[in-house]
Amino acid sequence: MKVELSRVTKRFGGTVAVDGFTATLADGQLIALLGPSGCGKSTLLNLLAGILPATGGRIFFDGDDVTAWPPERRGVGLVFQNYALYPHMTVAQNISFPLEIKKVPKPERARMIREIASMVHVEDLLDRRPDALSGGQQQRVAIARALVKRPRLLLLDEPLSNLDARLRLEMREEIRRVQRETGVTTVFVTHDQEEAMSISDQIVLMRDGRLQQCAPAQTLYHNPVNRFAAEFLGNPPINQIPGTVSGNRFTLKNGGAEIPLPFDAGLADRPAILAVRAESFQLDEDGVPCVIADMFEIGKEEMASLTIGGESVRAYLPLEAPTRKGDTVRVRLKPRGVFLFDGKTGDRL
Amino acid sequence: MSRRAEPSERPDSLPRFHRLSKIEPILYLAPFLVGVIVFTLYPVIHVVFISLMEDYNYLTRAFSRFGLGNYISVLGNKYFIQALSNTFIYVLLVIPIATCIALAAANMLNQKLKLTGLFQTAYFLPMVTSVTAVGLAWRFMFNERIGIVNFLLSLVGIDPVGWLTKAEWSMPALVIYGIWNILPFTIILLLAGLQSVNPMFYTAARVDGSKGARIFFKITVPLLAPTIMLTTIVNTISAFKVFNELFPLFKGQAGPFYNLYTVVYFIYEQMSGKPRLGRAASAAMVLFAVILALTLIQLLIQRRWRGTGKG
Ligand SMILES: Nc1ncnc2c1ncn2[C@@H]1O[C@H](COP(=O)(O)OP(=O)(O)O)[C@@H](O)[C@H]1O
Ligand SMILES: [Mg+2]
Repeated sequence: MKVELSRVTKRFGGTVAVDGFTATLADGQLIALLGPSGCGKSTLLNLLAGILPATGGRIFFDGDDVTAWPPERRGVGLVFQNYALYPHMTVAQNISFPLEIKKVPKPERARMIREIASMVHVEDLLDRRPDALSGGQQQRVAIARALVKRPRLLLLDEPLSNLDARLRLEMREEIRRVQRETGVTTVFVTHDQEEAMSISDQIVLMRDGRLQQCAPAQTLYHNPVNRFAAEFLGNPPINQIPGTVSGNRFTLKNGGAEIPLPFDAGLADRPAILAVRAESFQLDEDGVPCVIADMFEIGKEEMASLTIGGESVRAYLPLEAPTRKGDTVRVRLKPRGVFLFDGKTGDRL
Repeated sequence: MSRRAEPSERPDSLPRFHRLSKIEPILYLAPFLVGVIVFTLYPVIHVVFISLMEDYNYLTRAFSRFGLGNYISVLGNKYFIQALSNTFIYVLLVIPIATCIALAAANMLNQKLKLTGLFQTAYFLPMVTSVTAVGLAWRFMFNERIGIVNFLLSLVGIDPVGWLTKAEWSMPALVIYGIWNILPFTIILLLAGLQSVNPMFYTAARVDGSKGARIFFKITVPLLAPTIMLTTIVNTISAFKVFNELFPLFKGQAGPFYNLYTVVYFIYEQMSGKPRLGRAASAAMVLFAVILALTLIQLLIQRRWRGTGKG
């Protein structure tokens, strides 16, 4: 199902949790709703589910204006951060609950419960109570309960944040697999950029209730619209250096160095922030000299902490054995992963 | 394992201090324990003995026979049987009705409605007022000619009811008053229970397609079951002891024609005039046995609820 949000706004008294949000979520995709804590992700999800009424704007499901529809009419499945399984019901009863409301006949119900339970691998747990399940199992049951009624839209609110690191990876794959198998349009809320990048077809990046950028992970990473988007994605965080840009040269604010840019910015004497991803440095005999402040290995990659004209940056560099701390190397910037932003507004230049 | 190994590592010749530390907690508890033993435990055990002694004289401590004579006499007494049946009727009417009303009221108070504060105060006011004063107020309200209850009934065309003067209406009057009495306590506990229910369950149920009544019966009530069970047990026990309620309503009589004997009233009457301690005590023991049995049954039901998860 295609979801359209048109200038959706939600106010709680004085605070604006969601602010003029306009976006289109394509049918059958897994969309990650990404943003820092408190930016309004849960609020937006609740607006989609119909749990909260919108203060302004419209929401369309496949062209139908559902803004005023109550949750039971919208046909959405919702998975909560702490699962919200009904503690007084068994796993089977939990999964059955939405079907009973829809008055699905009993034999059909039993079949649907078995089918969905085996899809998320909880078929052996049907008689257990939620308190006798591990976090991962509870999450699977919660997903089964949300999916059993064949929702048009599946909403997951930080579904992995209560799991430990390994389970999180595993459940991430599971959610991806189940989404592919069912083909249900899915919105997955997370504040973890890595989670969003690895799981989604499309990332909706949000900040202070406003849409920042809506694009596939790779586009978002390689072509951020603003400084916030560049900052929020990627690990280690993108390097940022204040200075002035003129054509294809960038002069550090402290005057310590002049860095040649891999493109012509088409600007003259413009104060800006130069943002460079760690993997966008490369060794070059004719490059800018910088001092190696520190070196460490991350997995199979060499990470170096460099000082360029007094500014420190982190870079992945293929440094060979004789190189040591304190040595000077020369680097230049690769064409990819280098951006200029306005220092005040954060807009891309 | 390590805990088990510990004592053997400790030398037996540990200083007196160690032995003292074992007595110490008991010493702290002693004043309280003495109180409990003298004023609670001793009387209870004493009652058991008294109930087994026929024609017991408290002053001379003399009695004619030791045995079940008092029980046989009490259980064969038609007033006691009437008292027992009245008490059962009272409990069976008061507890379910009060629980349902309290559940509805607590649920209403739990909604974020305007005037909630006003209603909360109104409901809890009886808790801080004197039962007797309130009982007297009810006597006026139940008055056949000038009472507000009959006035309200007259508005819907019902003829005046002799709440406190007619035998057939005295039980309903007592039941209404009894319900009204336990409502505040029940509502407070249920409201506390409701407020501890995580609202996300309601959200989940709504998204699952449920609405009002269904959420209430399928989610709220089962989640509240432990609290409901608690109030039911406490209220049942207190309702079985119905006695105080009779005084303000019927001027100290057990109903207008002594038709509202309750078990405790029976016990009270055995003790007035020429005290019959043995019969009073055995009646008390019968009441105790009934309450104990019912409480155990309720606890068993609760365990079965938990067991099946049906709610
Ligand atoms: N029910 C509410 N009442 C008042 N303010 C709220 C409510 N829900 C959320 N907010 C506020 O709205 C903002 C967004 O919250 P939320 O959607 O929960 O953020 P996120 O899920 O991204 O962490 C926060 O500032 C939060 O304090
Ligand atoms: Mg949230």
